[in-house]
Amino acid sequence: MRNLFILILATCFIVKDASAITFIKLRPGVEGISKVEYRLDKKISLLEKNSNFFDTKINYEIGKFSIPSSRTEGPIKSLNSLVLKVADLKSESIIKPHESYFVLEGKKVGEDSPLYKTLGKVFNELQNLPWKLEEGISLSLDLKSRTLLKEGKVIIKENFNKKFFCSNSERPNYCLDKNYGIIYVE
Amino acid sequence: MWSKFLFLFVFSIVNTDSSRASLLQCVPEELFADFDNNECKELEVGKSRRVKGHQASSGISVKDHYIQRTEKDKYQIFLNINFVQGKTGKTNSSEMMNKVKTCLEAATPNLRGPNGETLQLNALTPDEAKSLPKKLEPVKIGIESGTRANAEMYTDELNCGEVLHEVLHLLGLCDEYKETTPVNGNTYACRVVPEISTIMKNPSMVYSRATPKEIICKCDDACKKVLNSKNENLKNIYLSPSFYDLVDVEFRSKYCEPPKLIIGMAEVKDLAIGVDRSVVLVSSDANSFLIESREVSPINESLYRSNVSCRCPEGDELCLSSKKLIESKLVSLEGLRSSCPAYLGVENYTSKVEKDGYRLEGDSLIISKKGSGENFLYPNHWSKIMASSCGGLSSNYNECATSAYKSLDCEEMKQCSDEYFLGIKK
Repeated sequence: MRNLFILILATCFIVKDASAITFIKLRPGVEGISKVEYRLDKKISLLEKNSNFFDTKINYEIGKFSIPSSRTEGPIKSLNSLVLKVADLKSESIIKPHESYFVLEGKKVGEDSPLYKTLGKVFNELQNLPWKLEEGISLSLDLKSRTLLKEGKVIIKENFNKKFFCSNSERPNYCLDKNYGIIYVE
Repeated sequence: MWSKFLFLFVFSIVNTDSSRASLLQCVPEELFADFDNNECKELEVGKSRRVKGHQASSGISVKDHYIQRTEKDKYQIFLNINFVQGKTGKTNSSEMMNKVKTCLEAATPNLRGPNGETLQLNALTPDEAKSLPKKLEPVKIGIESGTRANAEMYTDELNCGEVLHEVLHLLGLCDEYKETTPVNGNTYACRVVPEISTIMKNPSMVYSRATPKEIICKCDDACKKVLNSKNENLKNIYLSPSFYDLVDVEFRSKYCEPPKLIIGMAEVKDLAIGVDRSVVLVSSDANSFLIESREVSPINESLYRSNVSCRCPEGDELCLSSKKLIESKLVSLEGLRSSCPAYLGVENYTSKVEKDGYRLEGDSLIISKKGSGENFLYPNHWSKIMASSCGGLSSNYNECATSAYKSLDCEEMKQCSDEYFLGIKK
C-alpha cells in the first residue's frame, strides 16, 4: 500500500515535469547576455526577459510576465515534440561570438543546428502572445518616463533620466536597469 | 600493448605531410617546407600568406584572409567582405562597406605589433578581392537595423569600436568582457577577463579614446555666449570632460545613484575645488566615492551642480578596480570632453587631427581630439593574428582563450594574468 502511494506520488511529479517546459533564447553581447526564458506549465505560463533584444515590435518592457496556459497550448505541444529531437542531436552547438541560440530543456541549439529554424518559429509564436507584465520596468517610447510594476500593479511612475541610464546620452543605443536588465532603443 | 600499437599507427598517419597540411591550414603551400613542430615561421618581407578559414580553439570561427608583409615593419591584412542587406537594415551594403573602411583606416596607427610593426586592415568588396593572387572566400555579413551585432551580422548603428571588434573576431580574437547576467549556467563564466581595457573588452570606449576624431556639436546662441565669455573657467567647465565621459553607463547604472541636484545655483567664483572642471571628486573611501558634476547655464553664466554617489558591493573586485580607475582619472583630469556639452552631435573619425582643440564654425562647435594613440593590440593579440592557428607563437593566448565561450566545468585559469594572456609587460 505504501509503495503504491509512493508510485502514485512519483507519477504525479513525472507528469508535472513532463508538462512543464523551459525554453530559453540567449544572445551574449558586450552589454551583457540578453535572455528570454519561457516556463510553460499546465496552469500558467511565465516569461522572464532581461532584454528586449529579440522583440520584433518596438517594446520597452522587461521583467516577469505571465499568460494563462490556455494561450500557450500550441507552442507547448510543438516544444514537447521537439524536446526528444533536440536530445537526440549528436553534438551540442558551438556558439559563435555574439550569436543567438536556444536552450531547450537544458540543451543548446545554435544557428548551425537543423532545429534552429523550427525552434525560432515556436519562439516567434510565443513572443507574439499578449503577455502581461507582472514585475519589471516599462519605459515610454519617448524615453521620458519609467514605470515600475510589481504584482501586476504600478508601484512608481517617474521621469526617466536617459542621460544617466542610457549609453551615448545624445543618441542612446540602449538603457540599463540594474535590477531588470537592458532595453535596446530605436 | 594493443593501445600502444594503435597509438603508433594513428600517429604515423597524422604525421604524414598531407595530413599535416590539412590539419594546419594556416600555413601557405609555399611555406610547408619551413614548417616545423606545429609553429608557423615568421612571414618573410615581400611575401604573402593565405590563412584559410578554420575554427580556433576558443570556438571562434577565423575567416579566410591574406596577410602580406610589405616591408620589415609593415603588415597588411585583406578580408573579402560581402555585405548582404537584411530585412530591416536601413544602410545599404556600399554605405556599410564605406563605414567599415573608414573605421579600419582610422584604426591603422593604433594597430601595432610588439616591436613597433604596423598593421593595416583592409576590407575588400568581392570585386576588389578578385585582384588578389588567389580568390578569397568572401565573409558574408548581413546588415540589420538596431544595435545587435555579431561577427557575421552588423547593424546600421555600429560604431567604429564595434566594427573593429567584429573584424578582429574574424581574425581569431575572442571576447574579453565579463558576461554580467548569470543565466542557467550559460554565462560564459569561464572566460578570462583582463583587468585592463582592451578593444575586445570595451570596444567603443577604447576606440573612441585612442583614435583622432572630431565631435561636431550643434551650437546655438547660448552655447556661443559661453564660448565667447571672458570667464575662462566657465568656458573650461563647459568644454572639459563630463561625468558621462568618465563614468560609463555600465558602471553608473549599476553602482551609482542618479544625480541629486544641489539646491541653489553657483557661480565659478564660489567653487572651492576644481574651478575649471565639470566634474570633481568630493570624497572617497574604500568602497564608495562622491562626485560633483557641473553644468553651465548659459543664461546667467552660473552653474547647476549635482552630486553623484557610487558604491561598490563588498568584494566586487571588478567594481573596485573600475572605481580606482575612475578616481585616478578624476585626479589627473585634463583636456576636452568627448561628448557635446548639451546638444546633439556626431563623432567623425579622421586622421587629420594634429592637436586637441575646439573651434566654432557657423552653428557648430567642433571639438578635435587627437586621441591617446594607445595600441589596440597587445603582444599576444598580435601573435594570435599573425600565427593564427599555428600553435606555439600564440600558445598563451590560445590557452587562456580556450574557455572564452564555455559556461560550465571551467578549468582553473589562475595563470591567465594580463601579462600571461595578453603578453603585457609590467
